[in-house]
Amino acid sequence: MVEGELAFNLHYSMLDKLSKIKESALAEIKTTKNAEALQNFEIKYLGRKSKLNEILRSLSTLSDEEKRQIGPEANALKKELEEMIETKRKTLAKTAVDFDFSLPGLLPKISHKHPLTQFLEKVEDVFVSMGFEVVDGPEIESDEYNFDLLNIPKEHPARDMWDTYYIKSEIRPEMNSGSPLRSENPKSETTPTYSPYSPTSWGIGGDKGGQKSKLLLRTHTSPVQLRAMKTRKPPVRIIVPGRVFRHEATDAGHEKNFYQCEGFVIDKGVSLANLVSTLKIFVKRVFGEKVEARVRPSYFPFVEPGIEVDMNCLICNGKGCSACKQSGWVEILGAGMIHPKVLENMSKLGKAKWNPKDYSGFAFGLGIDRFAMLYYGINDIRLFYSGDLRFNCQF
Amino acid sequence: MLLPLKWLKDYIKVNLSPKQLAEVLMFSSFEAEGVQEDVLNLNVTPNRSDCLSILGLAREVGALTNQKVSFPQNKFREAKTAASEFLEVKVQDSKLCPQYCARIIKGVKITKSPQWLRERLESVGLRPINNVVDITNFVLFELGQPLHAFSMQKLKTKNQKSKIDIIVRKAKKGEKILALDEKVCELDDSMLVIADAERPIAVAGIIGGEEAAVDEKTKDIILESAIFEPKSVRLTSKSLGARTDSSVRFERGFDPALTEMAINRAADLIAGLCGGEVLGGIVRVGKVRSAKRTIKISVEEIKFLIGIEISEKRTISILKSLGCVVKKINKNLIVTPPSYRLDLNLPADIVEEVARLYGYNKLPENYLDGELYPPGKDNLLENIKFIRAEMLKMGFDEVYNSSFYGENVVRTFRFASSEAKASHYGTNHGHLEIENPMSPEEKYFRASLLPSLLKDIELNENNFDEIKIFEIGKVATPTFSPLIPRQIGEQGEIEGVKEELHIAAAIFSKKEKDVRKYREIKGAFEKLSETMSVKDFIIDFTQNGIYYFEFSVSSQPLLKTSFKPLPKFPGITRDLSIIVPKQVKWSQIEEIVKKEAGNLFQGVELFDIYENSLAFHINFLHPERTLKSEEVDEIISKIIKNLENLGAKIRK
Repeated sequence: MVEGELAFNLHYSMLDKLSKIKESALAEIKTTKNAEALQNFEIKYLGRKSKLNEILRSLSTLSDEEKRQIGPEANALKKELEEMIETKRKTLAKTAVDFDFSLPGLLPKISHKHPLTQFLEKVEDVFVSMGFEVVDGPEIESDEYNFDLLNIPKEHPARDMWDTYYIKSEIRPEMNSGSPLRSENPKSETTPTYSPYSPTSWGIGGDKGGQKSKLLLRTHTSPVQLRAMKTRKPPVRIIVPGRVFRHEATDAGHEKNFYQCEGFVIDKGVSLANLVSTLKIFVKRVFGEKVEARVRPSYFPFVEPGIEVDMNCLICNGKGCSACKQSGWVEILGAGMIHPKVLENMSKLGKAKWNPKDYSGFAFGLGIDRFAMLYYGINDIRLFYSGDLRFNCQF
Repeated sequence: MLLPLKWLKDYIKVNLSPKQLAEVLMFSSFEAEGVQEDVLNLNVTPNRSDCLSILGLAREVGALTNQKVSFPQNKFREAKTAASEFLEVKVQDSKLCPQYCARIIKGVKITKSPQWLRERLESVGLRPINNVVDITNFVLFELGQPLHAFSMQKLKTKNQKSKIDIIVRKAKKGEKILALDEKVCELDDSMLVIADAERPIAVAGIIGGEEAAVDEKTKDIILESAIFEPKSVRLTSKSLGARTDSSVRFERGFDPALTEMAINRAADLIAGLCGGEVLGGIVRVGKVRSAKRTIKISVEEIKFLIGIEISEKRTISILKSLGCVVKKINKNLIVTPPSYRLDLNLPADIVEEVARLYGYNKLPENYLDGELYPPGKDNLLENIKFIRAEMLKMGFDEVYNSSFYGENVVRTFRFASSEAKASHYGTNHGHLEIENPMSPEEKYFRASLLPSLLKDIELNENNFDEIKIFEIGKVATPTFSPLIPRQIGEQGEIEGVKEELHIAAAIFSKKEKDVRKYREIKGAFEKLSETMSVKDFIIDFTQNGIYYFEFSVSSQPLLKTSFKPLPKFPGITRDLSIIVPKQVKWSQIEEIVKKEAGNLFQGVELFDIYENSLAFHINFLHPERTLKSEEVDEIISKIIKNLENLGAKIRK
């Protein structure tokens, strides 16, 4: 009977153990707040070293009756614990993503490239992809390069097309290097003389019959055509992005400094059709395949023939609005075939020998600010140079 | 140039509405800036002097619409008395006045002009005055030849001579003339005037004088039609500030054939409308012949330059419609442009005429082909791209500023590089000065990007707590100080000016105005200088806590980043926290750490500064084995010892 009693006690204590395990598990699962804790819980209650596992393992040593009584209880608890863990796992998983998905996005701190830089890069990319080289030139120019050598002689009425800022120069006369196109025979040089402007301003650069080339802020990027050709020879495809200056009152549409991108090509057999096709494809690449361009005759002394190109107004999509004066078109650039005199000047200035008569070329000048204004719908050119980050940081 | 359709129709049939005509002209000739009722406001380009007249525009419209221009015949008869009995013209400077024609009309009756004439003038924006003056203005607009009428009685003669002398001469210094616009022009000896025996009566080609003006008392008039040298007219008009319908036309050059045509047309109109008798003959000095210009070009060349084959027949008919005479010799066209087309001189000019009348928008798609050359490498442009990308990565926003600033900036801003030189330049503090600034704010061309950058910070302060900005741009300074050796440039190089590309950056924070901001701007500068050579630079701050740097971007190639093999063995990091006396510099601490760590040194990072206490990580690494803790302990204790020698206390 002692055996039977012992067996009963064992039997009893096992059942008791099981219910204690359950009790403690139920209490503990409630305080389990995360996946890691749940993992620990699982190890504690169902792991190899868990009390329940001990009981399950010891079943084999028990009598058949005990097995019958305790076995199902223990297995039921195992199942119950497994379910408990699974439910908790699901609850936890749910909590982890339980937030308002409609909350606004938070922008990481980013910096901003100036819209004109962005636009210049866009323009450069299009032309570089067509085999153009990017060249830089000086903002402070001489009268000679900005005008004379571009076939805009002194006191020619065409000079009125460019209102110019001049630099007060106090260069001593011995600094004159002479005209870049001066005769190679030193004997024919005249002694430098003071310019007629004022006793303190002595002009700079060339000396042609007492008229010296003054320094100015370049009014266009075109002088770089000449500068670039000093060290190159055709064939060339070049663009020159850069800042230019106009001596005029500023308003929403005019700035005293703004950006241009000059472009020119010199090769054998370059034609007007090449120019128009290049510009039309440029407009499409930058503004979209649907945007059309049209050509009108115009006049710039350094090209012949000279043209201007308009494109569909992007603000009204060509329907007509105040920005395009109801025409549906906006003027975007001036261009033309490089004037034979300018080609000749290039060849004279260049180190390499080439005969300008064998070549033709085209040139164009894009107003970058105007382009960017159209592209982004900006209504005041002065914003580009305002330094106002409320503007810059929109792009 | 205003083009009233009503007036245009005097010479040519026009079947187009004003808007249609504007469009036709836009695609082949000139853009119309506006169309108001039946008046087109045309933007006549400076090369087309011939189109500053209604007749010229009629010819242009005729070429575009295949119409012929008709011009009324003169009906007046000359009197037997010769004009030369009463008038002698003396041209003292035939270079500035190569041709002078005058006529005398006696016994005119000065009245209001008839309605049609008044309307014509008003339609081009002129105020009718009296019949004679209106006729001279009418002919100016009709033909493009400026005319002038003098009241004969008002002209002074010498010694009661019966003959009047018209003298075309340079003005004398100090001479003045009351012009028709009621302004007094102060003349100088570069200016050409028309004078009687005593005084100037008109500024040649620009404006007439009040004293010899035709008024209601005038009976006899002298009519002038002349050619004045364009450059001289332009210079005089500019220095007098007098831009007139006359000067604008003379500036652009002249058609020699017009002088006589215009004086006869005006005489005819005066005889018809004002009564009076046209005396016999034109008193003329000088004769300019139209230069015979012939341009040789082949149809092949035209095709080559335009990029499309336009038939020979079409080419010739376009040129003929424009008034050119075209002959064909072998494969070449010999083109003689009409006298009024001063702009046609070169084969390229002929190409333009053919192309614009053919239609630019009809040109076929024809992309560039031909050999490409390998473009050169421009380090400067590459470096700029690099700098911009780096600055953006480091969280700086890019700004663009004006290239100008004013006297106040030059006076208040400390120009580190120019201060020393300032005394040698006098007032401009090492700046290029603008000769014709429009406001005091644009007196100087920028020599530094910083002043504007600092201004930007002030501007943005109200809207942003933290501002980090940079600009890349050109600056320039004069180099003709005695301190700087004279630069002898290549031929045509700009001398006396040093132009450079600069980068400048500035940081400002409302919350942190301390050393952390300084470290941030210095860190950005160091990042850039790791990869590029930086010679002259400035790193500084303002009293308001704006930290900044600026330097000139060199065109030296960038240093390349080279790969360091990843460590194979774990390193050891130790932290030290010390309190140092004020006079101890971080550089001294860094030096000690580097020296003691020797080749195990991997880096030192200062991560906290609070008053005099500094906290930093020191990283150790052995390239070939795992470091032992004891080795590092030993180095650390040496470092501590050295720091203590400097007066530092170690915080535990």
